[in-house]
Amino acid sequence: MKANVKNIFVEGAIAPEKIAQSIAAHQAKTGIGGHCLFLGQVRADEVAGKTVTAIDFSAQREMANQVCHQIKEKAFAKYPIHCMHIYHSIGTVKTGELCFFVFVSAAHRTDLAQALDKIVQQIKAEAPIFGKEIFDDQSHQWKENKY
Amino acid sequence: MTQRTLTYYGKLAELTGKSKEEITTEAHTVGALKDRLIDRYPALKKVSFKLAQGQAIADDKDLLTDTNIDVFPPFSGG
Repeated sequence: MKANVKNIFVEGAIAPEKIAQSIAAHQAKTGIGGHCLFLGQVRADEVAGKTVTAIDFSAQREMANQVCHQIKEKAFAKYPIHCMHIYHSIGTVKTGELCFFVFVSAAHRTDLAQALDKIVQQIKAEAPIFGKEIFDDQSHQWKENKY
Repeated sequence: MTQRTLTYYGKLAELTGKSKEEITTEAHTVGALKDRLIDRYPALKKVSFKLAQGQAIADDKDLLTDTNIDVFPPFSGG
C-alpha cells in the first residue's frame, strides 16, 4: 500500500467523542472557515416483522482504502477543500451507533455541502464494503445500497 | 491453464460456502472467468457480482493479469 494511503477503518462503532476530537483538532487550522460533516447511523429497519439490531461490516480493506484515497484526490482537485477525513466501521455496529464519518473543511462554505454529498455517494458506490444486517431473531440479510 | 486464488466477499462467501479457493482455469478474460464461476456455482446466475484485480474493479473484456482475484457482491458501505 502506498505510504500516503490512510486506513479508513475503525473497529466497531465510531464514538461521538471521536467526532468531537476531530473537530477540535481543526482549531489550529485557522485558514478554515467552515466544516461539513456526514455521519451515518445504523437504522432499525423493519423487514417482514423483524427488526435490524446491528450491521456487521466486512470489506476488502486494502482496496477500500485505495478507493477512498482516489476519491479524496479527485475531490481535492475539483473543490477548494483544505481538509478531508473519511472513517468507516468494520465489525459489528448496533442500531443507533455511528458507522460512517466524512468530514470536509474549506475556507468558505460555497460548494462544500455539494462536495461532501458527492464524496459520500462515491464511497458508497465504489468502496468494497459489505454490510450484513442482523435481525432480532439472529437471522440476517445482506444490505444493498439504494441511491 | 492458470492457477488463480479467488476471494469471495459478503453474500458471495455464503452462496459459495467459501471465503477463498484456488482454481485452475483456461479463462483469459474477466468475462470468461465469470462464466466459469457461474458454471461452478449456479446460484451466482441470480446475483450481480464483479471481479477485481490489482485493487481495482475489472470489466468483462479485461484480460486477467493477476493471480489474486476478488469476487464482490454489490457494495453496501455507508
